[in-house]
Amino acid sequence: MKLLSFNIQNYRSIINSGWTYLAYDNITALIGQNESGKTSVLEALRSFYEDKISDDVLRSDLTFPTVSCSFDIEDRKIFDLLNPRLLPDQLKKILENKKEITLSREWNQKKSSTIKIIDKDVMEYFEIREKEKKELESKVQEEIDKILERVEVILKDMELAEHDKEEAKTQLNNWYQKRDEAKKTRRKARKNDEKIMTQQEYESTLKICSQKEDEFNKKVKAFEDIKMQLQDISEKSSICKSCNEIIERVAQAEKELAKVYNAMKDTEHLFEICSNDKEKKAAYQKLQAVRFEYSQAVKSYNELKEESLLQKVIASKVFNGQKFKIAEEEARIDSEKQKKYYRIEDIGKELFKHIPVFEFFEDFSSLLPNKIDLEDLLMENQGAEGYKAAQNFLRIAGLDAEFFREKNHRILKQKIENLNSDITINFQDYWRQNVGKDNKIRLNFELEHYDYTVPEKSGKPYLEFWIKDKQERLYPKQRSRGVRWFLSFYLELKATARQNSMERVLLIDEPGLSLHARAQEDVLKVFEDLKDSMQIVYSTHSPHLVDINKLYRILAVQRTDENVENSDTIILDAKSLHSASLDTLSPIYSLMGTRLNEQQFIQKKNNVLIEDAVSYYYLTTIYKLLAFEDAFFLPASNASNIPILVNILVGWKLDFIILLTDNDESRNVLDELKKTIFINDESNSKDKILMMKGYNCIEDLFSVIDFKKYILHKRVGITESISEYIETNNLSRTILATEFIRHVQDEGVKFSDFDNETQTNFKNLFNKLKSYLK
Amino acid sequence: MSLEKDLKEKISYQKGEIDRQRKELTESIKYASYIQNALLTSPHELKRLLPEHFVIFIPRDIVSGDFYWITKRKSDLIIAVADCTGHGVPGAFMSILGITLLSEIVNRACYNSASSILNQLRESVMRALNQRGIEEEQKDGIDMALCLVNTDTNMLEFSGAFNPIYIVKKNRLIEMQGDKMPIGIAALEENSFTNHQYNLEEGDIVYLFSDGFVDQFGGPDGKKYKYQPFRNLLLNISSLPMHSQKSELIKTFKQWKGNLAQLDDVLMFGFRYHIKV
Repeated sequence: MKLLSFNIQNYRSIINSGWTYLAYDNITALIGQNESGKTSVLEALRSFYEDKISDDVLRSDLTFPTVSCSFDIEDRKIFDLLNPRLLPDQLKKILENKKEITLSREWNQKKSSTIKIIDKDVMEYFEIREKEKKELESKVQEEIDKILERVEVILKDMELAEHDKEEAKTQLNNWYQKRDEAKKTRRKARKNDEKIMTQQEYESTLKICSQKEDEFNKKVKAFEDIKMQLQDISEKSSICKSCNEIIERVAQAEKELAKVYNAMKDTEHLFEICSNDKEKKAAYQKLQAVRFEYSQAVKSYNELKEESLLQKVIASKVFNGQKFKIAEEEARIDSEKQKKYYRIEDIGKELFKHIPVFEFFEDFSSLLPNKIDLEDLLMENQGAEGYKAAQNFLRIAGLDAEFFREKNHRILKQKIENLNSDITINFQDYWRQNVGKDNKIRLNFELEHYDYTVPEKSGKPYLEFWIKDKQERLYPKQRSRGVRWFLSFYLELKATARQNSMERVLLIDEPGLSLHARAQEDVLKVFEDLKDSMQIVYSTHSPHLVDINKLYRILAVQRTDENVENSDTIILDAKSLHSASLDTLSPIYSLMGTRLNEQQFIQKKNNVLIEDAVSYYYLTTIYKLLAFEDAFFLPASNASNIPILVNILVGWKLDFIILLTDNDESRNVLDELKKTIFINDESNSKDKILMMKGYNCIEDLFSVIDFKKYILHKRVGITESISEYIETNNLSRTILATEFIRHVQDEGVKFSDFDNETQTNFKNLFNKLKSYLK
Repeated sequence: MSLEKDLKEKISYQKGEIDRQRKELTESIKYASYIQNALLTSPHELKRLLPEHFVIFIPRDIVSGDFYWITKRKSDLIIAVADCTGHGVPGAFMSILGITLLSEIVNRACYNSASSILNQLRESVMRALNQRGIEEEQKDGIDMALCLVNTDTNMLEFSGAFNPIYIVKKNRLIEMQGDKMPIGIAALEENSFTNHQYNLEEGDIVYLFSDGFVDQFGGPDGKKYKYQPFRNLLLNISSLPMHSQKSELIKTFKQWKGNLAQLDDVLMFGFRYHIKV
């Protein structure tokens, strides 16, 4: 994968860098004054990769940083990076044709971060799922509340009904008693009227009893009905209760989590302020314990949350009429399936595994030593002086422990000698700085053995390093720090490139600060050599670390208000360099040696870059014949040099358009310009580049007749295009063009003397050109 | 006696030999004429492209230096009537070169006007004959009338090397002059051929021809037929159907020529234009 662009937000002085693209050819330079924020850009990228931020990156408004990077997956397929079996079909479809992925790392107040994929479609997919989940949860919660409310109502009703039933029963019993008494009274009655009266009385009680029985039965029925309702709702109410229980447990777990987190932070603080080792050891043990407790709390909280969601899904199914057991079974199967799928953060994490390794080079503390014990190298004793530089050296030489296990020292010495010549030659490719006289340095190493002067190591092998020139052989420490720095830098870079096949992004802050200007240019050479195997982003304010012919590699970093130190940092890419301040662009100005925008040769606007001097002759001559004067033609020495001119004009904030003929070379130039200067911005390149479609070279604008009459001065049949004729007959375009100018001047040729075809071709071109000019 | 007999036999043998050679040569040229005819646009194709037309093609010898070439490319109808320098075999060679180069230019579709076809054809002929404007070189060339009719817009473009065209519209004859330069090297430096334009209307008749008819000696005084009588003749017969016009023209030519020898190849092409429905 290749890092295409980045966006940094709320990182030190950078509020929002906007999406900033790296140079397509893998070398990007951040230029800017001190304190402009160049290092912040590099560190933000490192933070993105390493997931580490320190307190000093936080802004005063305490907003948390977000760093996003966009990658081209190049010739790989997205399903080489993600397991398609862990993606639901819909998501698989969304992802299948992605060639570019964007990952974003966002920090939170705990200074921990999450990495996630930033993709509109993917995010929308998960948002919809999340929304659905939330809707389900809220709907289920609503239903739970309703059901539980209903249960309460039923229970109250049941209580009342029971009360009514009991009351009716009491009343009925009372009336039964009264009936029995009336029966006795009737039996005791002797007199007729007395008999009639008691009989009436008895009948009346009988009637009331019957009524009361009815009433009682009704109350019993009402009670039974309500009881039935309660039974009906009991399954739902029971699931509601368990849902509520688990919600309660989630809340508890959340509280517990917060408590444990705070305890962990306190312990961390205690650990940091420990004054002695004993305290520190104890605090560390406590910290380990509390960290474990925290991880357990997180785990238990997440499990409970999952279980809570599952209960809600079951509840939803039950509410929709499913039987509990079936609902539970279905929900559990579905939950298991969902658990297997990637979550949005999993996708981010999974893709992150495949991004290039970002390596930050700040300083090379490990400078090449004079010597190192072979034992230290074999035992990987990182504390040994210059261990890393020596290790890098051996790695570049393709040596491992096996190499040094050769028991015959003479053979080993010979092997080393053979290797030395290779390494030296390769190294010299990059080091062209003269040391003292006209000599150059060479790098050698030799295998030696300690003698009796070092009794404790006597007989043990060590490697000795030398930096040699034609006249003398010196230990690394006898050379300047600059030489040693360059050497170590070279070794580190080369070793990193060899280390493994992983793609890499090297982030280098101010390389070669202590180097001589010439040596700084050599650093650039090393970058050029490495760019096919890794991407390099470096910061500099040295003009010697900027390639004037490749200004598209530059990102200008500056403050919005250069007089205010704490103003925001902005990043300007190649096509916006004209907006950068003069101080920011000073490395470029130093290289150009002159302020082009202050001279008269190139105009502030309407500069028309053309391919060569021949085009210049023809176009300016015809342009004059037409008495046009808006455009200022600037010839490159050939089409391939147009990007250099464009670089210069961009650097000097001078407006231009590019006029290209239609041939392979200019099409390559067009592609290069689109990639470098216009960064694939079609609309911008369209306004700036005018392609003369169908015209292989400028001479093709003439009709064959006019070409013969005014340029060739020969009567011959020309059946091919003029450009083909010139090439086939090996004619000098310059001589022809010169002859044309001479003829036009001497013979007083007017534009109207040309035939219709020539006139139309030039008029069309110039009219189109005018529409591009301002 | 025997000497005389010998001589007679020898003469007789030589005569026989000459006759045999002449016969062989004539057969060979005749065969060549079939090839030349095959290069001309076929009657069937002509009928398809221009339903109302006539062709009068009377070579002076067996093969001809005149040729006609008609084709259609997208909406462009291209009609050329040409007269190559010389007649007979040399003319025929030139005509084959002309047809080949013309079809190559048109088929490559690298033209944007009638004049651009003639300009390119001239370059090709100069190239083929290696003409560079030096004195001792061969000055062969082609006179030609070429029309390019856009059947969508009904716009006729004409460009001519010496030869003109006539358009008869409602009993009025319009002449479009060709430029006074051949397709091939000339004394003066090459200039672009003029591109004439004319908007055709329904029923307009266009005539393209070589100079064989007008230059033919004959009539009561044995003089050239000339252009003015030719234009009058065309005006007079223009209302007739095309096949009748052809008969009238042949009849007139024969009457005019009488017993005199045909001076040059005669080629005439006429068509009545119909707007595409």
